[in-house]
Amino acid sequence: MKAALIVAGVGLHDLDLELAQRHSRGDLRAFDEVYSRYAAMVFNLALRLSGDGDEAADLTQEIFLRVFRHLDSFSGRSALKTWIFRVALNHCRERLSRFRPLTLPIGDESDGAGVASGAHLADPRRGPEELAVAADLGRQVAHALALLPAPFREAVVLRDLQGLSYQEIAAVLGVRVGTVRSRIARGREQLRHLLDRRGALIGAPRLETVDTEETEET
Amino acid sequence: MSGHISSESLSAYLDGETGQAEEQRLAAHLAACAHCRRRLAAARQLVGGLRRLAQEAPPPELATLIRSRVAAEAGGIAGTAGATGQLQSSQSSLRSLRSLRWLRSLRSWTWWQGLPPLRGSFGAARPLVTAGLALLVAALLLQNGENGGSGLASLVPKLPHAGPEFLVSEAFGEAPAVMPQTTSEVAGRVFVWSDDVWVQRGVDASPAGQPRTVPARSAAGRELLAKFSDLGVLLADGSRVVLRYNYETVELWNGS
Repeated sequence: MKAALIVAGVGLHDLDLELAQRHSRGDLRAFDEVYSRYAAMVFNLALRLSGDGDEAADLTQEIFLRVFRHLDSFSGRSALKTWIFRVALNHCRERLSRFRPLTLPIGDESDGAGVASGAHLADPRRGPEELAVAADLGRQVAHALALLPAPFREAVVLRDLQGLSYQEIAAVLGVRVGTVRSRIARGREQLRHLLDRRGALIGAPRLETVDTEETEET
Repeated sequence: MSGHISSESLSAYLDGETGQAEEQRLAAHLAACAHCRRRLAAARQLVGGLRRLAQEAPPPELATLIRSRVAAEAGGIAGTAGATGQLQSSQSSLRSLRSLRWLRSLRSWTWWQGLPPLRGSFGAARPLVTAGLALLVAALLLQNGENGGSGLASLVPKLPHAGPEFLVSEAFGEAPAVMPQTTSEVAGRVFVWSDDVWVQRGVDASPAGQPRTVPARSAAGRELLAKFSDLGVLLADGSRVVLRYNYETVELWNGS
């Protein structure tokens, strides 16, 4: 069984590599395939890192141009997904550290920006009151996320929104797994702190900071 | 194990990212400690909230736009050479998306034209952007004349008439490397970086925390921006205050 899994893993990378090779031969459909596979993933990463829907669309466009230009340099050492995440993250860092006049209103009146996606938490089987609470909670979570310092936000977004393993996140961020573990924990802790302050997640026990005698492993 | 589980271990345990020995140790502690079980439940609830954040679909026009730029780079023609349905859409939506981008560029340019670029890479693109914007402004002014004076203002209604006044605060005291302690006063209100968020301080703020205010477009302002570009920067246009910190711009106060 183990052997079969390993073979399947190699096979996946081979497919990625084949896609890159088709691209370098000038086959535009290879890029189309890459786009359709990863557009949502890249857009959502950009959305959560930038906190703005328009900005995320711009970033996605630029990221895929980068992917198009450099896909032939993909060597298959990592999965294509990891490679694209790395390109996307580097681009977001570069672009978002520049000065921009875009704003992320703290108030809850901005639904249009793509940040306030709480409405999508809606489950049609629930009543209007419950839907409103879920929508508001989603907005608050999205806003709190946007307030996290970038290294923590990156780690939390990659883990909790994109579902990457610690190992994959370490590969994308170019840091050790221990660092990933610490950033995720600290990011979540700060998120909880921000949400507690806003009165979100009412009724939930606070994630307290406690004195620990345990040695932190990295 | 004495003491409680560290936040980091708890978080890794929740993700199933601990080693087997650590997992057993933590599970044993959790079985005996109601306090840590509550903390684990809280962490689980938070992660659940994050995972329920919707995955948004990229705007449909985006595929067309990217495809057309990619085709142009490849030396081909957009929409041919084996383009699939995934990346096809109408040319008119492409044009409207492009005009929106131009408008945003204009807005950015009008706000920030007086500032030095924070990154060298921006400098290279500046002549092109300026030339493009000059064309756009000319077109808008033309439209302005045709529509009896309402063109430009109606297209960009939120632009301040005069250039914004920037109030830049320097970190004071011993600034930690990661989280600089910063206080800023904008439009008579004092904001303090505290506990990872900006909060507004009351009017009885101690004089020691008073920041130095510098016009952004003065030599001193440029010097400060260059020196503290990685710190929070507060920007105000009189009725609206935004903070640039790290990756994001956050609106702190809107008096209008």
